[in-house]
Amino acid sequence: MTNKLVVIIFLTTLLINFTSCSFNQYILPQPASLQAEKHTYIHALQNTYPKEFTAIQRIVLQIRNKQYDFLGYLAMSRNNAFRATVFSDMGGKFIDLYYNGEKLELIHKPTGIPDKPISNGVTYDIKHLFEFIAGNNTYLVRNEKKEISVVIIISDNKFEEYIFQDNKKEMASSRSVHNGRIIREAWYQNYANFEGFDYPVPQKIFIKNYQWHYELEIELLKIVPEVKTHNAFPTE
Amino acid sequence: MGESAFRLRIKPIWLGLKMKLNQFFFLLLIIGFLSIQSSAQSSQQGKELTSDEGDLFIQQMAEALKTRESMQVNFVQERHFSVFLEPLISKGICFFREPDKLRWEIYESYKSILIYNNRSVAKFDFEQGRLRKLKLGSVDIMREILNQIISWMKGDFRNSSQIYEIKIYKNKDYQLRLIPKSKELLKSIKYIELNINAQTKHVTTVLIKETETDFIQIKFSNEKDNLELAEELFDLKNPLIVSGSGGR
Repeated sequence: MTNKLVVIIFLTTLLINFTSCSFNQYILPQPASLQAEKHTYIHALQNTYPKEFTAIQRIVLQIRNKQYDFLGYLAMSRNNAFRATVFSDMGGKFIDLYYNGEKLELIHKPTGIPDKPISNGVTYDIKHLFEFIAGNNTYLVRNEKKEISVVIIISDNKFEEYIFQDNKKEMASSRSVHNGRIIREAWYQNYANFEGFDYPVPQKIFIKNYQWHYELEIELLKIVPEVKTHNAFPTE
Repeated sequence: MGESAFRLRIKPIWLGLKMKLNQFFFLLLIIGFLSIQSSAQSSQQGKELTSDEGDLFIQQMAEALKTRESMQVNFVQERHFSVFLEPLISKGICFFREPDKLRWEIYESYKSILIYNNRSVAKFDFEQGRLRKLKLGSVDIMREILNQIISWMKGDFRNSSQIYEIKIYKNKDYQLRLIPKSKELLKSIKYIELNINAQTKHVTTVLIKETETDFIQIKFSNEKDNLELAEELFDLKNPLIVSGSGGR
C-alpha cells in the first residue's frame, strides 16, 4: 500500500513537472484599485489610433527561422470592420481579407495555403493590435514592475492585456490569453507623430503568435486618419 | 494538451505552407524583377508587331544591350491601390554588372537591399539604422529566377515565353507586354508592360497591372552605363551603402 502511494505521488509529481514545463499557465490578473486612473488608461488605449484610418506597413514574416518581407495595407473602419491586403515587396498580391466586424471574407490567398493560419492567426492579430473594444469587462491592473495594464475580458476563458510604460500613456506590450495560455504577445516601439494624428503612434510593432508559430515585424510607413470606405469595404 | 503536442499538430501545416510560399515567391519574383529591366502607367498602345517583327525587335534590343557591361539607374516606384487614398512612393537605385551581379536597393520610404552575386542571394534591411541580413526564405527559387533576370538584363526573353505570352506594340516607343499564361499568376497580375526607348532600347518604365485600378509603376531615370562599379556593392555579407541610404 505504501509502495503504491509512493508510486502515485512520484507519478503525480512527474506529471505536474511535465505539465508546467509544457507551458506556463497565465492567470487572469486581479483588478487593482485604480478607479481614478481607469478613464485615463482606457482612453489612451482606445485613442492609440483614430476610429478609422488607413495604413501602409512593411512586414517581415518569420516562419521556422526563415524570413519573408511584404508590404501591408490596412483600412480600419468605425464599426470594427477592416480590410487587410498584403503584397510582395515588389508587387503581386499575397493575401487580401475583409472582416465586417462579425465575419471574415478571405478575398485572396495563394492556392494551397491553408485558411486557418490566416483566418485564426493573422485576422486575430490585427484585431488584437488595432481594435480595442473596452466595455464593462474592462479593468486596470498594476504588476510587480508597477506597470499599469488594461485587461479586457472577452469571454470566460479569453482576455486581452495591454501594458503601458511606467508614467507614460503609451502601450509597451500586450498579450492575448486563451485558457490560461498566452497565444500572442506584442511589443510596441518608436512612437512617432504622424500628420493628422492627435497622439504619437507606434512605428514598430513585433508580434509573436505562439498558436501558429510565426513572428511579424511591422514597420509603419504611412498612416492617414481616413478610409476610402467604398473601395475598402465593398459590401458596406 | 501540452505545448509539445500542440506543436506536433501545427507543424505539418506550416511545412505545407512553406512549400506553397516557395512556389508563390517563384511567381512573385518573376513579377518583381521584370521591373528591373525596364520602367509607366500604360503608355498609349500602338500597333502590335507581328511575330517576325517581334523577334527582330528583341534581337535588336539584345544587340543594343550587348555593349552594356554595367549599369546604375535610379528609380521611383509608385504603388497605386484603390483602397488607399494616395500612392505609396518609394525611391531606389539599381546596379547591374556583367556577368552575374545585380543589386536592387530601396532607400525611401523604407530601406531594403537585394543582392544577387555569382548565384548567391542576400537581402538586407535596416534595424535601428543598422544593416541586417534577412534569413531569406525561398533562396533556391530566388537564385533560379535572378539568374533568369540577368538574361532579361541582356534583352533575352526566350525563356520568359514559357511563363508569359509576349506581345510587342510600337508607337513612339515600344511596349513589351507580358501576359501570364498561368491562371494562378493571372489572379495576381493581369500583365506587365515594359516601355522601351525606340532609340536606345533601354527600358524607361515598368507597369505591373494587378487589377483595373491597382498597379505598380516604376520609372527609371539617370541611367549610367559602363561605370566602374565597386565589388563591395554586391557583397553578400556587408554591402557598401550608397549615398541616399546612409553610411556603411
